[in-house]
Amino acid sequence: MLNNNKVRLMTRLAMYEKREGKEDIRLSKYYKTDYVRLNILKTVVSVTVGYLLVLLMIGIYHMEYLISEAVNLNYKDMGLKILGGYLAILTVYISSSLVGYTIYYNRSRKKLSKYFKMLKKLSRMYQEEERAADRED
Amino acid sequence: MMMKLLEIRARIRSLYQKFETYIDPVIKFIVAFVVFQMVNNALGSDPRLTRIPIVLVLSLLSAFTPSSVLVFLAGILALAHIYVVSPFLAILAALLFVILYLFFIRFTPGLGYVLVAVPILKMIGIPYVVPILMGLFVSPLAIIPTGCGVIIYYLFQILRDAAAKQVNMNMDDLLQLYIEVMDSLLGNKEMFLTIAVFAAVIIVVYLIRKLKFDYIFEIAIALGAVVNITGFLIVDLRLDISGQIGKMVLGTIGSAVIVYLIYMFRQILDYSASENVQFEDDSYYYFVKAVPKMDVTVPQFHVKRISGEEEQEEGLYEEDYQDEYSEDSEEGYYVEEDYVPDEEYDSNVEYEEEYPEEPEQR
Repeated sequence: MLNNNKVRLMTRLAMYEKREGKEDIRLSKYYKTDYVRLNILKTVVSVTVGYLLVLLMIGIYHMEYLISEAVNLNYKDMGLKILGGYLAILTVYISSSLVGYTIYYNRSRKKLSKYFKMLKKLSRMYQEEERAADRED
Repeated sequence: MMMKLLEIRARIRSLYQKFETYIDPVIKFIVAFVVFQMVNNALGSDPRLTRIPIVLVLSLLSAFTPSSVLVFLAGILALAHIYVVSPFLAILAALLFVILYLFFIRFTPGLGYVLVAVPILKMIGIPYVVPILMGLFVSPLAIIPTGCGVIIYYLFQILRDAAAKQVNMNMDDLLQLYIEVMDSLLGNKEMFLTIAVFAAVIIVVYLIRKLKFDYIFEIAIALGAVVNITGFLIVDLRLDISGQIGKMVLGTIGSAVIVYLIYMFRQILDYSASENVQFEDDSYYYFVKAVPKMDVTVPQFHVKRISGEEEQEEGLYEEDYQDEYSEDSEEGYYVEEDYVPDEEYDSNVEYEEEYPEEPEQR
């Protein structure tokens, strides 16, 4: 025998899971610290690779100058500047990622709390059904 | 008048619900087709690539896949065109794509279509649709893909000109070409100022539509257009390209109208799509089709001021209800009243207690 209320609730839950909930549920599988740390790591890797590519392009741009002055170049100076730039950019990206992903995770959790309330309600319905069935025996 | 409009709206809704399954892929196909044709027109050198069958196949692919596939295919097509004329330039373009992705685009998933929309729309004179639309329906985060879209547009302009100049491929010339391309790109004041104006439009539109007044969306669109015109007026005069001003003003007005139409359609069609869901429990498998009810009469959340002349009409509630719903759902709360019928949803309730404790800091 079908319990209409139960079906309605389950339908709502399924609709949520299919649409807006997908991303939230994906996030819910991570602890907050893990999620944020994972994404910061991904960001660090991307920024590093990107920085190297930019460096490459700048190098090619100045290729003639670099080759002609190869002996006279102050490599230490250049190295420090490159490193400095890298650290500066990394700092910016890490801090914005930290803030950004934390906010994103928090917002997603808030949306989930209503979903979990409905889930609790559903589980209560199941418990009541069981109790009713037990009483009949 | 109101009744007529409501009738039209109801009719559009019922049409949409009838043909829903087909409408989506058809629209995507048309959009993809237009995109690929425009790419071909703008960059088309090799007749092998611009053949209709290729465009059709690519459009078909894009019709049944998420929008990021369209973005990817458009990029590949554009790169292919450049590659035919000059492999070097194509590699350069690809490198720049990768850099843009690593530093910017990977942070805004879901907004990939903007990267294609900006250049394409700019080619037909209405790029201003994008910033206004973004401010209206997204957030200032959209400045990132919008800006990248502008960069891509100017990049391909430059590459196309460079490819035309490059007839002989010679190692020395290649380096020179590279330097010229980078100079044109990084010294392109018009590009950077365009990004700035677009950013301003997005921010202004976003800030305004966050206010809760009647007709705030319309006001936001109008103000966005004004900011856009003002911004580009300054830019065009500064850079001494005043010939473009007329086109820009017309383009802005056209863009504002288009955005308004999109807004109207969204109001009508949002929450009209039916859902098919499947789930199971211990005793049954369930296959449910949930069809949203049309002309929902709901208790009013949004009280309109009743002046002497104004009267509250039936059915207007729906519009207010929808605005309330869409705005709040963007905040992350579900306001829809019968979502949890017999329980008060208290947004202040702490959710922490319901979840497993996080492990101790290692």
